[in-house]
Amino acid sequence: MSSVLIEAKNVSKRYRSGLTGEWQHILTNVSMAVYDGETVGICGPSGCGKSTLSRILAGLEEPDEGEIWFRTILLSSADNRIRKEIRRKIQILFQDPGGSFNPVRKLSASMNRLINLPGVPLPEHGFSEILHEVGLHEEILSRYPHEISGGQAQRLALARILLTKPELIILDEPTSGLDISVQAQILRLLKEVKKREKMSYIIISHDPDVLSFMSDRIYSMENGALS
Amino acid sequence: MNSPDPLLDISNLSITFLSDGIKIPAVSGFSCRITQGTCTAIIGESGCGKSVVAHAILRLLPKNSLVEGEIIFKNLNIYRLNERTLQSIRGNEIGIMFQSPDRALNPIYRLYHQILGPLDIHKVVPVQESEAHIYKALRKAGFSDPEHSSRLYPCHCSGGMNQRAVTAIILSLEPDLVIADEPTKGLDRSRILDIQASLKEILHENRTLLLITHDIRLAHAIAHQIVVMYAGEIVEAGPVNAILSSPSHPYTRGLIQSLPENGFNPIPGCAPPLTSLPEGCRFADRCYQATKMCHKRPANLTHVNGRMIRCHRY
Amino acid sequence: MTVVYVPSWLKKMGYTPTFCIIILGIFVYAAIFPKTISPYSPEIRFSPYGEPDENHMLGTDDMGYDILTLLIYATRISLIIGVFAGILSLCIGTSIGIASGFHQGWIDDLMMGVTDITLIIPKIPVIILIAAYLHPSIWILIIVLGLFSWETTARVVRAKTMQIRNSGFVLSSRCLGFSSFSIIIHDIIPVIYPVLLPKFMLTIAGAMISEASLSFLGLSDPMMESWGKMIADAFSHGGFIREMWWWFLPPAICICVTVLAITRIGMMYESNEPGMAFK
Repeated sequence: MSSVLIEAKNVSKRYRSGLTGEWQHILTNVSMAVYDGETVGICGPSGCGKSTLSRILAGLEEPDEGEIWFRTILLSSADNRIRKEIRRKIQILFQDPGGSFNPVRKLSASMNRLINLPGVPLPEHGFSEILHEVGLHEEILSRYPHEISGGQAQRLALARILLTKPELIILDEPTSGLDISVQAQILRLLKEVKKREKMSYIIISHDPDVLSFMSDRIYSMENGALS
Repeated sequence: MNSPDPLLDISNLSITFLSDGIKIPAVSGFSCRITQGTCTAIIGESGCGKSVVAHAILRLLPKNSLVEGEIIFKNLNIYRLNERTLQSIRGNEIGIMFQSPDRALNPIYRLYHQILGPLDIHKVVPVQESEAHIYKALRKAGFSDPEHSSRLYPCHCSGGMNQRAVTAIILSLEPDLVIADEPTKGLDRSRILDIQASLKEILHENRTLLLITHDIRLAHAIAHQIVVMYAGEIVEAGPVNAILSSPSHPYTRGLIQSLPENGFNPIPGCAPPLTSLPEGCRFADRCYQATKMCHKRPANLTHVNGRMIRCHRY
Repeated sequence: MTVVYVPSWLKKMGYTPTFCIIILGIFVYAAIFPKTISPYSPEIRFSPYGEPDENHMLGTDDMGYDILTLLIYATRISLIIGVFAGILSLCIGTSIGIASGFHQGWIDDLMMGVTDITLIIPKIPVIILIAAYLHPSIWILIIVLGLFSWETTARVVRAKTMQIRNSGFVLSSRCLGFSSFSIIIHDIIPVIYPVLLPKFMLTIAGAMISEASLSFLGLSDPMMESWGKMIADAFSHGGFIREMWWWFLPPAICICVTVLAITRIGMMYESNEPGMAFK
C-alpha cells in the first residue's frame, strides 16, 4: 500500500482585481491526493483553475482556505526551513518550454545558476550526463532559448528540474504547442524518467489521449471544482 | 492534379537565409501545383520549412533571404510584381490566417471596424454595400446575430468568437486562395474543431485553401492533397487518403505511428540542423530502413503510383 | 540590430550610434583632461569683450577670460551634473520600480502612491524655493534634479517587472528555490536593461537641459561654470546687447550636440525582443 505523497484538502482560492473589484472564485473546495510513484492526471478546459492548483501545490501561491499536506507534514504550520525543503521537492514543468529560460541569457548561464542553490549537488563532470539522459547534446548550452526548438527546450527544462532531485513533478500541459512527433518523444521520455527515478507526476492536459497514455488516475476539473 | 491552369504553381522553390555569413537552406526544390477549389495541406515538424513556403508565396520573407525558383499565382509571377500590385493581392486575392488567430485582432477597435478596414482598402464592394457585406461575412463565419456581435470589442468575446471574427475578415475580402499557417497550434480540442469548421466554411464557394500544419488529423479532415516536408524538402506528396492510410515514405510512416491512436511511438532522434545537412538522404539517420546508399547519395523526387516520393527504395 | 526610425537624411549625415559615441567621447575627454586641449589656463585674464581672432578663437568674456577655455572647462561641470543626476534617478527609479512590480500587494500601492505624489510636484518652483532658502551648490542641484526625474523610470520598470514576473522563467526560478534577490539580479535586471539604458540616457539629457535652464534663471551655484551658466553670464553681463554671439552660441551648441549624442546612444539598443525568431 503506497503512502500519500501530497494531499490537498478543501483548498479554495479567490482573486480580486484591485481593492474594489469582484471576487472571482478560481478554486472551490478542491481535495485530491497523489500517492507515491503514481501519475495523476487532471483534465479540464482552459481557464478552469488547473494551473492555479499546480502553483498552490508547488508553493508559488498560498490558498485562501484549506490545507496542503506533504506526507505527514502540514505545510502551513511547518517552519520556514522545512517548508523550503519541501517546496524544492515539488517542481513544475511549464507550458511554453522556451519561456522557462531567461531569454537574454545563454542556456549555459541559466543552467550554471543552479550552483547558487543550496543543497543541490551539481554533477562533477558538468551537465553532459544529465543532458544525455534527456536526449540532448552538450553543445545546446551555447545557444539562446529562442534558437532551440520547443522539444529541445522542454527536455532541457526537464533536465534542470531533475538536477534538484524532486519527488513530484507537476507537468503543466507539457506537450501543447509541440509537434505530433515531438509530443510522442517527450511523453516517452517522461515515462522513462518516471521508471528510472521512481518519480510521481501530476499531469495537467486538455488532451484526453495524452492523459490516458500517461496517468494511472484522472481527476476532472471544471470551474474550480474537482471530481 | 493536371487540370488546365492551376491557381498556384510553385516550381523548384529554394529559399536560403544568410545569417552572419552562414547559408541556411530553409527550403530546397519545392514544387507544387494547387488547383482551384481544393485544399492542400503541408505537414511536417517545426523547422521543416513549411511556414517559410507560406511566407514566400506572399513575398513576406525577411531581407536576408535568397529566393530561387518561381511562384506563379493566377499566371502572375509573384517575384516579378511591384509592391503596389502585391499589396492589392495580399488580403484581397490571397487571404492569410496565422497562428493564434484570435490574437490577430486589434484590441481597441470594435469587430465591425476591424472587418471594415481591409474592406475599405481593397474596395471589394461599393461603400453603401459594405455593411450588408460585413453582416453576411459574420453570418458565414458562424455568428448568429451579426448586428449585435459586430459592435463588440475583442476583449468582450471569447477566444472562439474572436477566431471566428478573423475568419469573417478573411471571408469578407473574398480571396481566391487562403493560406492558413498553423492555425491550431497549441489549442485544445474544442477550439480545433471550431477552426476546422471555419476552414471548411472557407473552402465553400470554390475557394482554395493552403493549410500548413503539423496536426495530421486536421489535414485528414479537410485536405484533398497532402505534401509532407522534412528538413526543407518534400518527401512525399499526393492524395490525402492514399498517403495517410498507406504511407510509403518512412518519415510519413513514423509520423502516423506517433499519433496517439497508434500508441505515441516516436521517431528516434531529431531533424538535422539546416546548417550541417548530411551528404545523403536527410532522413537517413533516423530511418529504420536506411541502407548504405541512403547515407551516401540524396534521393530524388520521383513519381510512383500516383504520388511523389523521395526515397531510394522507390 | 537597430530598428529605430531615424530619417534617412539624418542617417546620411552621420547620426549613428558609433558617431555619437565618438562625439560623446570627445566631450568626456574634454571633461577629464581639459588642460590638454584648452589653449589657456582658466585663470588667465585678457582684455575683456574681445572678438574672435587668432589668439582667442571664441573671443573673451566680460572679465577677460578666454571663452574657448571656459567652454572646455565647463564640459566637466555640465557632464557631472547630468551623469550624477542620471545615476541618482536611475537608482531610485529602478529600486522602487522593481520592489513595486515584483512584490505587488501593499508595497506596490505604497510605492506608486509616492511616485504619483512626486510626479505632481513641479520641479522648477521647488528648486526656486530651495534656492531661496539654501545656497544652491552643485550637489544640491544634482540631488534635486535626480529626485525629480525618477518617476517615469519607476513606472516603466514596474510595468516591465510585472510583465515578466509571471513569465515562465521567473516562475521556474521561484519553483527551483532561488531567493527573490537572486531572481531580481539574474532574471529581471538582464531583461529590463534594454529599457533602463534609454531611460538613463534621456534622464542625463533632461538633467543637463534642466540645469541649463536653472543656471539661466540664476538659480544654480554662482561659483560653478557650466555651459548653462555661460549662457546666463553672456546674457546678464552684456554679451547679448553687444551681439557677442561667440559667447552664448557655442555653449548652447555644446548642450544641444551632447544631448543629441546621448539620446542617440540611448536608442542604440532599441531592437526586437529576443525570442521572435523566424520559424
